[in-house]
Amino acid sequence: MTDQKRRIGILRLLDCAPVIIAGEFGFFTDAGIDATISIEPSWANIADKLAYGLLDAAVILGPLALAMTLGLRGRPTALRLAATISRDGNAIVLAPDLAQSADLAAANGLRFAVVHAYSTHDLLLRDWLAARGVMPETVTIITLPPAAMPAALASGAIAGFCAGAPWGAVAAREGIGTIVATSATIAPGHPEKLLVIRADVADRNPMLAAALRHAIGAATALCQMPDRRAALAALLAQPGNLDLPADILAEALVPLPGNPVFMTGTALRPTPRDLLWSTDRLQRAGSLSGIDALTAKTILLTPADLPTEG
Amino acid sequence: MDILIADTDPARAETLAARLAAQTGTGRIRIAPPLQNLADIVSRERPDIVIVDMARPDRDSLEQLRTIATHRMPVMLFIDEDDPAFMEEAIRAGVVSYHVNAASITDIKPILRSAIALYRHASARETRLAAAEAELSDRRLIEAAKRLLMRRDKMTEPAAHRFLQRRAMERQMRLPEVARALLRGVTAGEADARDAGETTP
Repeated sequence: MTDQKRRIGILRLLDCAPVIIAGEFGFFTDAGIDATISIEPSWANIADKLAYGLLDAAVILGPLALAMTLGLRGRPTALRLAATISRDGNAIVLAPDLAQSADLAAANGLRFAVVHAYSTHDLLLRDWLAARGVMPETVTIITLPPAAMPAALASGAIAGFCAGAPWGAVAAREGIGTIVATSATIAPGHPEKLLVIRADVADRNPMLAAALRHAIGAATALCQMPDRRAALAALLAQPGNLDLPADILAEALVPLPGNPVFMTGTALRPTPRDLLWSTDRLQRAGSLSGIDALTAKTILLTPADLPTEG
Repeated sequence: MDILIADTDPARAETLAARLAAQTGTGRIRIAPPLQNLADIVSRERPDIVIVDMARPDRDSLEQLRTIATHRMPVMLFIDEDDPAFMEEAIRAGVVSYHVNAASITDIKPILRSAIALYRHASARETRLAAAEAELSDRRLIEAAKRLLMRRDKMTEPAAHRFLQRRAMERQMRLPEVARALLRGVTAGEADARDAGETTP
């Protein structure tokens, strides 16, 4: 394609695995992309580095991509959706005694943790609370790194959390928490990790989005092969990669409710419906106006290789 | 001015605290204890400005605008809209600042500038150099292994690339490691054949 280097930002999360796999197996090179993968410690880093041009592309959460595009979080930064990498994969975990309680609305001063203020996890938690008769505005929602959530639950600092795999399973296995809901029960098939490109980079390189989907697709196809699972988990577990226990990663790659579902082939193409999933809920939470939603859709969903309608 | 420093490197935090004390004169300068949640420290200590090391995984906790707003304490990432080059410099150096109260750009900028100078001088440069070197050597290894396969086994370049990929998958190794193993095997073999006493790198 070009000899230009593309810096792709990810977090140490299971559903970022396809980017690591694509790098390790040379799928980016096959697609004509000279990719450098940058593992970042926080979503805030992903956002800031995209905003100031230190990253060209990144794996991101839909609500954060919307917030960045609209200037709700830091410098307004136009992004283009290149791929829907994964769907589902999140779990809501409560302290065991609270999980037993029939009436959640009666409990006062509940504190929950999510991974970022603008996250699918925050929106799923709000959906779930509302369905149980709890006004989301009446609870406190704080932000923690997912790896810190099981300990925070054990210490009583929080009553529950919503996070991606494998953190729900980790808390459940250690007896710290009970998984009371997963993506599959709250909002089956919801968009989770998205790949975005800075709009200026995408517009200068109209074939980049398709090339990235090609490379990621080769990686997600591998993730879906049962006989590859152990080998991939071992590779991902390395300290330079996800740095998580291989057995936990291998379990999280099994297609079970609560685990991420990786998109392959044409299913990687971003759709207006996926964007609507976030905009609808952000509007309900009061973070977005109707005009905002329309503006964001126009910016995020107009890469050169996508039809603007549909 | 009340400044909180949240650094992953205790020595650098001390240096910055000393510099800022000399620079700002009045006010308080504190260092956030490590291993404590940043949002908790900020709600307790209520500084005007928080200087944050971008390596902190709990930086996201400062972005929970809605919930902290209920304590009437909006925490905002400092952005100089008129000076994107300055912001890029900060982020490249690996340091950002948040302001808790209505501190002005003219107050914040010199403080952040001092932090940038210190960060850039210390770790950020080393990290970049190390990453660049590692990447360069990775690419060199792969290229060298491909050349070897093309020469020794008469493979085309794409075939050599596929061979290395396949081996990486089979052996659950990174591509550069496969290349290194291949090259090492060959150099060791050649050395044996040439001269048993010769050491190989």
